Amino acid sequence: MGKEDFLVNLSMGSNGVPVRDRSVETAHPRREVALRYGIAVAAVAVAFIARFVLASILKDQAPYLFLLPAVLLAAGVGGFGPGILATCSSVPLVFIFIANYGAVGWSEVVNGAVFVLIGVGTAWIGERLRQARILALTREAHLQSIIDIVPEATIVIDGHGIIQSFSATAEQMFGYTAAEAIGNNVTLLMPSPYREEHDGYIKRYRDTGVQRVIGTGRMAAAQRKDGSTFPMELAVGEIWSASQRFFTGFIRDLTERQGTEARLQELQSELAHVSRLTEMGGMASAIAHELNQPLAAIANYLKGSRRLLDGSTDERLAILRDAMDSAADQALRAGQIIRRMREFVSRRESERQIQSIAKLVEEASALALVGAKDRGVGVTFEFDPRVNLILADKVQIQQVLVNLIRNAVEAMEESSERSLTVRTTPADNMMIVVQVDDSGSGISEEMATKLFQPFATTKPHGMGVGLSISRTIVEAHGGQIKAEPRPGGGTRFRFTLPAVTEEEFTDARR
Amino acid sequence: MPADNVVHIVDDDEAVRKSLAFLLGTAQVSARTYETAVSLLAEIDSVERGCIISDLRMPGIDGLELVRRLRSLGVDLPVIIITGHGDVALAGKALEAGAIDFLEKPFDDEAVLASVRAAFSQQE
Repeated sequence: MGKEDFLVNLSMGSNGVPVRDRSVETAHPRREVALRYGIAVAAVAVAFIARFVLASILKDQAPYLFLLPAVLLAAGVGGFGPGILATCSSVPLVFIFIANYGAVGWSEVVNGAVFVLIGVGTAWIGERLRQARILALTREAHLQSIIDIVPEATIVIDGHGIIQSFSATAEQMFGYTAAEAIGNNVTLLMPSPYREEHDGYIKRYRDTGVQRVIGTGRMAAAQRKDGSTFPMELAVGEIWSASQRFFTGFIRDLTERQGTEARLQELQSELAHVSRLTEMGGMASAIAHELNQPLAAIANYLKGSRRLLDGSTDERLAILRDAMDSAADQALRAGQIIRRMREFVSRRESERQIQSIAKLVEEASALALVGAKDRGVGVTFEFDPRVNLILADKVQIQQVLVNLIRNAVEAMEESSERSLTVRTTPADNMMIVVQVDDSGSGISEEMATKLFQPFATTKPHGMGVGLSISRTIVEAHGGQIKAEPRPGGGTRFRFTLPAVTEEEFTDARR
Repeated sequence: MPADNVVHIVDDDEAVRKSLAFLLGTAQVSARTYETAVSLLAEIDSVERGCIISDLRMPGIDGLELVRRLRSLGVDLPVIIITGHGDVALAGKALEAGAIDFLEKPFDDEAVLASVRAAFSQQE
């Protein structure tokens, strides 16, 4: 059978994941045919023996009644051939009873003919059912074999988050076997706080029908059996099956280099692009500040000097006064040029939209933490449920987060304890605080004061613009950024952003 | 302009402080300079009347924080904020907090003198 060959070939998983044996029919067609006919013969034999045992009571009454189930069984399980075999072998057996207990008349012959007709019909229907069954099993096996070889882990959950299916790749990625995972809530595979909140997400979707993940995909954190977490990319699809809801999740492990290098490169070039954009803005802003100070001093001295020469009658001093005035105007003009450059760069203000800070943190972390697993950094997220929505330029705030998280990871390189915590909390004046804590060596008092100034750096290869850019971005959003020692060692960076309330959010959407 | 009014200049950049004091001097306005907001706040009880010109971004206490502290201390010296950054958002906050004017560096002499005159007249 061509179909079976196809299935057998597929069992070599293309990505090295062992594929479970999914072949529908037995791999030996001859034995399978013998089995089907054997069942037919056995069923007829059993029926005949049962009828034979009761022959003294039943005599020649309803002789076909016992054999009909045998025909049904043979046709249902074995299809057309075995059905016909059971029918044809039944007729002579029946005639044995009739011959023993009565006479063979026309009515017996008609009876036999009707039985044969019914038997043929049953065999035909049985064959149709058998073909449909084979097709369904083939399709299922085909699908399963595809699921097993796609590089993403595939997990199906029901409308209550209970795992229904767990692919071979998922077994590898999470360390659970399918048997262990199936029947558990999918929160088993999530670190806090998703673990606690996921049921709420599903419920909210059930109640409101508003899709947040379905169809769009997102980056988030996942947890293996051994408790370690890894950044993943999740895509979710929804299926309605027999009035029941299922969700299929495709999960890509972003730390897994093998097979995901292309995606990694994509992410990195995305980050590089974002960095260039904001670095340009940051540089412009830094240069503007650095240049505006001396320009202000020049203008002040010149304008002051010109004032001293006001009212002088000496013709040469009058010429000097005009020259000083012109020179001061040129300093002011230089300031204008810088201002225009800054405006050009900060034109991104129109890009501000309502964003979920938790989502921004997750995505930025996934980007910033690529490779952090190898360095043994433990990452914890704590999102305060009271705050989430902010009005922000997504790319810029992610840039700030990537800067802070990368700095934190680098700061912990020499430390024995490597824990990173990103936390959101509400603050006064309708602001929210985002806090990035590391357990690194901390920063000196002297460095803390000039940390956010451009070109100040402790890194051998750093330009010292990362935090300066971060400050520019945060302040452009109306927030503030600070660094302070973390209680218990390390550094804590805090920045504030204006919060958007649910009401404002609803108004904005109206 | 009354001679006893003094402009208190707070800026961490020495060139800006000194040049501004010089410019004000040429317009017969006396000025005192402070490197940090802390050094002005330390003498706040004994300073002459007039006004304050403060930079916005400074290490330690920044211009915005200075305005807030002065208000909470009950000091009614008018504050003019100057900045090398075009921080429109922060400028709004400074004015909200009680600053009377906001100038971007480099500024025109007439602009800063007009602002100082307005501040002095507010003190009268």
